[in-house]
Amino acid sequence: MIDIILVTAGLALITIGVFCDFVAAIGLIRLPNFFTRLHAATVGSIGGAVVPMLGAALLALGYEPLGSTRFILAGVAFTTSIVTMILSQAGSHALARATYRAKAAPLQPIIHDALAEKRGEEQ
Amino acid sequence: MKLSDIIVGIAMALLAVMLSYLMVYGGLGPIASYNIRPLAAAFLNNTYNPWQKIYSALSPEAVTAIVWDYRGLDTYFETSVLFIAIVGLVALFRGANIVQGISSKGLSIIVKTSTKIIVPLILVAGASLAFHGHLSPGGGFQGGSFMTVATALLAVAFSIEFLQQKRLSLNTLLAVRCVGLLAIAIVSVYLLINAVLLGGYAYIFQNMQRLLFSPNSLVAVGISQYSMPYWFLDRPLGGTLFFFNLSESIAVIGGLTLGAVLLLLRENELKTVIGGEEHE
Repeated sequence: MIDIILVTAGLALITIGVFCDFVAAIGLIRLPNFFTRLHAATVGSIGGAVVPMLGAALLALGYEPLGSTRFILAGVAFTTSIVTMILSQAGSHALARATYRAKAAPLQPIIHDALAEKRGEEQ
Repeated sequence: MKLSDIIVGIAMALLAVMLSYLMVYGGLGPIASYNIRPLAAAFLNNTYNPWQKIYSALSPEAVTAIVWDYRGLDTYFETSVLFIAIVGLVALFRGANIVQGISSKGLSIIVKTSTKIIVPLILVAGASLAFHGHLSPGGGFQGGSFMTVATALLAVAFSIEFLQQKRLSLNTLLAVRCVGLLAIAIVSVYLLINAVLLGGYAYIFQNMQRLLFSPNSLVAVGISQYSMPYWFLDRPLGGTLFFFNLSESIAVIGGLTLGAVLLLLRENELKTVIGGEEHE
């Protein structure tokens, strides 16, 4: 019984991951400037890599015939997903910050620039 | 949507379909011709063969055995190519040094914190690749370049002045690389020195005991009785393979980190060094 629940949850998470990857691919093509495209890329790496890796961990846990190997597989998948979750955010943060401060990409179309407001208050 | 986009998309899809067709139906031809299969069989039979030490490297990992034992000299020169390139880099940047400057703050605190989390993990994974090279896929060069990623991340996220403050200056890195290369040289002639001092015969890059040939003919006249340690506690050690992997990883960390730091030096400081303005 618990196997069926684990496998179903894992497959559901992988399905969510496929959807996020698809959305990220469309976003990378259609979105207007660098920062929004970076957002789409982060959707691809969090929703499209971390979530399905968690799903793979659950799937491995629920697959009885693997024996005790499934715990190793699940542990590796879980650790990788957590590490990816930390690192992809840090990477896209560093990219966006460097691009904003170096003015390497156009900001338009822009609705609200909180960073510029903050900088204006400080000065 | 432009016509070129459609054509590129169709071409990529066709490429994927054709590649999968080739893989499934074996269109790439037979895996290996029958003439060279006995060679592979000989390597697989002898790589870990405690009953025939004169042909064996006593390491369960066939690739490392071939790379560091069966063709050791070849690999040594292959390694030298990389380190000669680094010597060229050092010669080009001679006199350059890390100046404690204005921009020694590094990147934002988010990047710094996640770098702190990930650097120990990278170091451990690289060390396991390097020091288990004789037991599992991997090896000294792979593990060393893996660990170089950690130091390069530190240099980018915390600035190169941070490395300098942690006593990883350019000269230290050069010294680490030299120590690694020296260790490779010492391991490769260790048995030969043994044989010269204690009497008897041995080869350079010798790992286990080998057949001894007379200088003028291809007739085996005996067995060189010297051999490297091949068993550590309850694991095979692979003789020279472990020591070669260890020293190669040390040399690669030093050399590649040196290269990364040199390429990260700031342009303004370098112009005075490379430009040679004092010779005008």
